[in-house]
Amino acid sequence: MKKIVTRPDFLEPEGGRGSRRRRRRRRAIFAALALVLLGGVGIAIHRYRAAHEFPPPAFEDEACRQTYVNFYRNPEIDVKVVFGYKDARPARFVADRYERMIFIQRLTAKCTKKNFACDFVRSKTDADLLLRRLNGPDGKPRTIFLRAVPSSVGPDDEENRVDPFQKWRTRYANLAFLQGLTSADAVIYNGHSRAGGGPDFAPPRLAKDLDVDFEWYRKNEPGFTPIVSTLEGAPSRLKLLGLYSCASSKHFLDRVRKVKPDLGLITSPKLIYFSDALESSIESISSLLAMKCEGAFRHSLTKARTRASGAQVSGFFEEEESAD
Amino acid sequence: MVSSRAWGFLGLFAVAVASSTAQAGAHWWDYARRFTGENDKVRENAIAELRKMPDLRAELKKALGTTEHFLALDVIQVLDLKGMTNDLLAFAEKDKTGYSYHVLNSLLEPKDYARVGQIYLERLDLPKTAPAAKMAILDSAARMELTLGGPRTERLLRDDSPEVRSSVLSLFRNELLRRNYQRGLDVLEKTIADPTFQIRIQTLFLVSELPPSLRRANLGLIDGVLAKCKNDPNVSVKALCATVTTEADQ
Repeated sequence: MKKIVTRPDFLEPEGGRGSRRRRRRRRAIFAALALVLLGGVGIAIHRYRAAHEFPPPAFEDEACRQTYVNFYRNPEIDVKVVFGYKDARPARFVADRYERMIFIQRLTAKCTKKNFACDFVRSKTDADLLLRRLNGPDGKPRTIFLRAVPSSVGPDDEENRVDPFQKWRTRYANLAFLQGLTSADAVIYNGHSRAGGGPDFAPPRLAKDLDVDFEWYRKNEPGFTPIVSTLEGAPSRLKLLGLYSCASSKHFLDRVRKVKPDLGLITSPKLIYFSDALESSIESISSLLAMKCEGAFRHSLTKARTRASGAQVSGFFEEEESAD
Repeated sequence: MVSSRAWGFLGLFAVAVASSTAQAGAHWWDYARRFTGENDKVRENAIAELRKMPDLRAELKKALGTTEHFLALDVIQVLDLKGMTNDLLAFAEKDKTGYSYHVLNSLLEPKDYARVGQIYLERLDLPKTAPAAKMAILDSAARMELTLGGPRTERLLRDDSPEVRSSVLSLFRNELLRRNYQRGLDVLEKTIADPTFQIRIQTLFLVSELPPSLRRANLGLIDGVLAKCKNDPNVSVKALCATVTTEADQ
């Protein structure tokens, strides 16, 4: 008996207009998928190239280029920004935690216009560590490991002095700074000069009137002596040391130069207001990441927002060798 | 011919004009910069000049949030401009630096703590409050003896910013050790498991400070906290854990 094959009424007979439409639809879908796939592959290739083969920045001169070839020598760039114990003696208020938080908020903000101190990502396991990827002077990728380290544990100097966590914080900040002098590419100190006896990461030693015992700091130099012995005692990869503290040019510049003549320094000849120091230190990081040459670097430290700090860079940009 | 006396008067007149011109040219922020690092006489003179400025409050209000933000706050604080409390309170809500709160605190009197404190606590709940502002508010809470309450504490201990979480722990320490606030130690169970090692270290130091009576009353919880850090992946945390455990056993 002949098998009767019934087809639903709503289906066109095979080989009819409906199946052609379905075939066209299938071809269109496949074409769209292929385009999307090709587009995705194209984007991936472009991004890979951008990360790995991005053309290097144009440097004004060879000295500038060499400066940044030297600075970005390693694939991982170590930057330490250590906020000293920012007491306001004879008041009890201690501010470095807040300044550091503002600093971190700025560095983790989205990049806009010409600011390069931005788009940093925070580590989940280390509250002090921020990371950013960028291309070095050779166009190849680098990872910036920036540590922003506070010195105080709370806003009250009297309370901090009796908190055992404070001793740990002081030791940790001190170690971060001293280790940075040998193993980091750039170190920035933002804190008190203690009349030349700094840097300082601890509650200050007090005189009888409960103000800072500047005489003791001048005489004993508890913060500066370890800098000298560290720089003298071990090979160092440090290229730039920023000392954002009052009159740091007067207190520290010549003495550091004597120990390490080839070290780039940022210091200020003036008494430095805290927000000016903060703006200027952010600007110096931005300039390093943007690989600004000497003129532009200096200019960035004298813009409207940073001028008041009086910060000056010296010894960072190599002299051009004369072509004799 | 001009007499010498006339020359003298002319000279004095020239000096007077020059100095008044110089004074007229000085802006409020020029005086504000003299608060830091100068001797007392310079500072007092700067304060006196600022007090003479007729539109100072309007200028300071305009300066909040600009590049002169911090200097404006300094002036408000140094001159003790209590009349600007409400302006500051309003501005603080959007101040990402949190510094408005520090200055506000210096202007407040204890009778203001309850009213202003409530506003502070509500702002801790707002997602737009920046971490620096939350830190300032939490630190203020210690001074003003405000209490976060359980749900707010739990929420803030989950904040993205480790600085906010650390400030919550500091406030907890203040309540336990300085205000004798009788509350459970369950905060420590959370902070010993914080992803950042610095907060785990902070937790262990607080455990080491607990008075014996509090420790005895919470023996099980403390043993649990110390058990969690025994094999901590961070070397410093692990070492401190061992030290605190040994001290606890003695």
